[in-house]
Amino acid sequence: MATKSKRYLFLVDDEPIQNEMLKDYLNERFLFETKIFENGEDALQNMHLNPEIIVLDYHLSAHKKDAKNGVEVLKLIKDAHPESQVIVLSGQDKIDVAIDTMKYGAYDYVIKGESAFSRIENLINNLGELHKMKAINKGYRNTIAMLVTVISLIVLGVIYFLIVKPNMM
Amino acid sequence: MDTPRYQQLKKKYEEADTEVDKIDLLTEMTLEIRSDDPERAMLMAEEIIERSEEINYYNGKGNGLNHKGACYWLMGEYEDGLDMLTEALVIAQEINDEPLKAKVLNNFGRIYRNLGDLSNALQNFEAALEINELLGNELNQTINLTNISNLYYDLGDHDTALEYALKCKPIFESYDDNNRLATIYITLGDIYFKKGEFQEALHYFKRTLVITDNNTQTYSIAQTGMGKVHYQLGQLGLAKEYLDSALHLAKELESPEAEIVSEFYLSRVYAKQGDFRKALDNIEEAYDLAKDSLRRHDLMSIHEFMSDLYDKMGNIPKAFYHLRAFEKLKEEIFQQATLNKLRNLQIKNQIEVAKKEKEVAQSTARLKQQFMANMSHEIRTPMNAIVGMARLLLEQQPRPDQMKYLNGINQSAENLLVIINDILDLSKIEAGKITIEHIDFSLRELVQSLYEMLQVKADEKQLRFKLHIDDKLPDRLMGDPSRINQILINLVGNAFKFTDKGYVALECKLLRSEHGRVSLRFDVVDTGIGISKDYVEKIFESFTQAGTDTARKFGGTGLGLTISKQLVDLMGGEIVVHSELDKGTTFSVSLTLEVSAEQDPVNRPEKITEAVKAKLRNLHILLVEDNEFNRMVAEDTLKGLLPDIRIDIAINGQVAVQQIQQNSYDLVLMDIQMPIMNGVEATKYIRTRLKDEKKNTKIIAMTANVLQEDVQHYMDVGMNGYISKPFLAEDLMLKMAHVLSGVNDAPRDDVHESDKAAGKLPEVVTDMNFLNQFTSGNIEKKKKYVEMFLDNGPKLLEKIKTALAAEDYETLKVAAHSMKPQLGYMGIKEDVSNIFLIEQSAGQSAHTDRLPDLVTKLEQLCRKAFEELRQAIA
Repeated sequence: MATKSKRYLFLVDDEPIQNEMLKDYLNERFLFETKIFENGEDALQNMHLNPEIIVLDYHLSAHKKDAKNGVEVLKLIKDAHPESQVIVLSGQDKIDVAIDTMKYGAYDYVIKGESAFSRIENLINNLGELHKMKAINKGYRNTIAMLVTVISLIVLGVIYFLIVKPNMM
Repeated sequence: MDTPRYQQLKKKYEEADTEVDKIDLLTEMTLEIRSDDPERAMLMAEEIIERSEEINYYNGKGNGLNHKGACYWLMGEYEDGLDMLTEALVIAQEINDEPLKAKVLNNFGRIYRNLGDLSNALQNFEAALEINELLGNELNQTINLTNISNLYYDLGDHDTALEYALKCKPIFESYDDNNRLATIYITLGDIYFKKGEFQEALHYFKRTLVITDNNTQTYSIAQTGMGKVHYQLGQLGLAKEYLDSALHLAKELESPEAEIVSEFYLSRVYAKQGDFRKALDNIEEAYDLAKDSLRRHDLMSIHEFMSDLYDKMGNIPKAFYHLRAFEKLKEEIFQQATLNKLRNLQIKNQIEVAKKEKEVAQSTARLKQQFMANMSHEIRTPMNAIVGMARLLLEQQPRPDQMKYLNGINQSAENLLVIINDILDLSKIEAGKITIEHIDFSLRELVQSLYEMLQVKADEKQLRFKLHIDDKLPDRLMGDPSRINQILINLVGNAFKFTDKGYVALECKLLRSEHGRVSLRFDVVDTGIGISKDYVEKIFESFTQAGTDTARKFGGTGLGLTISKQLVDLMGGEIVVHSELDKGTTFSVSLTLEVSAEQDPVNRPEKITEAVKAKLRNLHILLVEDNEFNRMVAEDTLKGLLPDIRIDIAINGQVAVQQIQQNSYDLVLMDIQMPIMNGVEATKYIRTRLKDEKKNTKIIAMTANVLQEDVQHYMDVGMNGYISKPFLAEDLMLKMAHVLSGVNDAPRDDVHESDKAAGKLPEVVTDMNFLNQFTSGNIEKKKKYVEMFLDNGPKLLEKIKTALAAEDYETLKVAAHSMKPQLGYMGIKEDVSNIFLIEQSAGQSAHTDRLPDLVTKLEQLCRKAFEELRQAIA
């Protein structure tokens, strides 16, 4: 995923003000290519862009009666692209909704309101950390693999020169 | 030869009105000519003395004597000089004239120096210097320093002498006084001469010649300077020329100093040229003069040279005699000199030590300030965290009791910050650097919030806390509310600290009111341990509590009262304490404050006072509410606030009526919309059909319906008051207290309009704070969002209305849900918009009946909000 030149962030919400404000807010703070979708279906069609983060509204049926709701979209996203992190945004302060979203793999659940912006900012920061940690981890793993190879070669060499070769003479 | 300044003074002298002024001017004139023409100065000094005696002007006489002494000094008659100066000193001491004293001492020093009594000279110069330092007279200080420099020169400590002289030079230069400049140039020339830096020496002597008239003593001394430098440079011809000229002038002016020096160096010039006879003539001339004038320093050098000369001339006995004389004198002078040197070293040390101490003190003061600044920062940072986190918790819908504590934390933290700052500023107060603000504030609000804050303490110690504010006091005053608050917190806090049983009372009385100012007095009365007579006096001093063991028992810094006292003083008020041991203490603070021009006519929302709480003790009430959730809220709120309340529940009007018949209640809280029998019907029933003693049970309506007509209707059927849902606990308590004390909500007048925000829209419904913060003041962005809301909001509102008309509650709920955060962003509060309530109500079929009212209200609100927002971005 790090090979992609652009890091995408999807905002999926049917409220234009919310989208616009969040987009401005995040653009000021992060270097993501932000894409806005009014409903989950449109977002799902664009998943080939491999968005790193998706901020998903729980209610997506304001304009389309039969639109999929946030949880359904979340399920589909996580099934197809488990590496994309989803932050669910909702106007509702209901614990069961929160539990639902977490159960289906959302990274966190944020309630809409004045403090939502900074909370999302924090979450993205944390995700960035996570991302970095993963990358570092991967790096370490590679290093360890390499070291193991090198050490085994040396050991083999030693064995060859100390044990095999003297015996040959 | 009269200098321009002399002319100026003379003119002034002629114009002067009083004899005293004339004498003073004459004194200045004398100073002006003194060094150039001592004889004339002497005559003038005598005139001054005479004229001063006639009018008994002691200061004039003293100055005259001083001048006379100085003239004797210049003329080499040191003993007479000392006599004159002694007389002058006596007068200076009698009339306590410090400047004169300094001048006299300085002249004493000069004479002693020429007499070779360096330690006495130094003593006098130092005394003069000290006085001039106190007086802040820079010029005279510099003169003293020049003389001290000369002393170092005499002692052979040329480097120190140079250091002093160079310090004096720029000061004299800035005063543009040629006489004094000449003195310092000669001093510098002499020093450089002794140091062997002849070019420098030449430079200064030359400059002296340039700036002085060619018929003055200074001029002749400068000439001798030129002569001796040239002599040392081996330019004997030039040297002789200068020295002859100097000698001639010196003889004319009867200046022994210049005469001796020129004779001495002339003699050396002749000796160098091998003309011993002439050399001897000159040196003997110098010897006699020096002997007469008691210039021991000169005499010593002369003896030395004469011994050398006689030796060269083969006259061994004479040479031996002079050698003996020289050694004797040298021993005399230098024994003294050694002593002086030691003394000087000590003085130097002392000066160094003093300097160091000053530096250390300064850096300590700096460090202290730094420390204070750091400390205040260090304290502030965690305090901010406390305040901030308490605020965050407040935002997370805490329970009422938690809310109360959080508010307490907040308030206390803020007060603590103020206090910390003040403790840090105590030094500032003491230095008079604190400013008292002069702003408009509400006295009652101040006292009330203070009362609430400290009520916690009263509860803790189970004390009564009484509050009384004089009704006659105007509410809005001009002053410094935070300082007054601080004073009262200190006093009341103290009262609580030292009281274990009984009460603490805060009373605020009007003393006088006139010309737009009021004098008022705060009395803080307690029934505590009291203060013994010995300590009453000291109570306002820093770090004083009634005995050290008190501090241990009760804690605290003891700074509170000091700060209070100083703040009261700063406000021009008065603080007094009356106390009796074991009976209690009364602190009284009297202040005079301006009455603010604008008195706010609107009643501020009342607060839960002790009186209110007292009314609500041991209540037995009936809560009539069908909705389980609402019931719980009401019940928990009430129980949280009033622990001793007994609450019975009725789930509808019918049950309520039955229960009222069986029990007697202080109060009934009645929901309006209920199944079976609604609140209005139940009230009607109670008021009309029940027995007399039950008939008049107080009833408060609890309703989301707050339209004017509805409220009117409730009152008409006999309810005593109403409260709109959702309610604040405080409002409910106040309402209950009101109704219990027999005050009904008047339906017709505007009480309930101002009473409940829900009854009427506030003046301004939107608030740009969030958006401003969000956009960091970017107007373009703010405009964009507001425009989007103005575009989207009406659509949503329309949707809500259509959905309501079609009874499509699901759509209504979704639209309300969408609208909710947007209203929030525009700063429209939930208690105004009820948008959450709409969303909730749309989701519960039981409550859809209240939607029409809510939506109508929402529409009104939105119209107003749209208008405001349009204006905001226009």
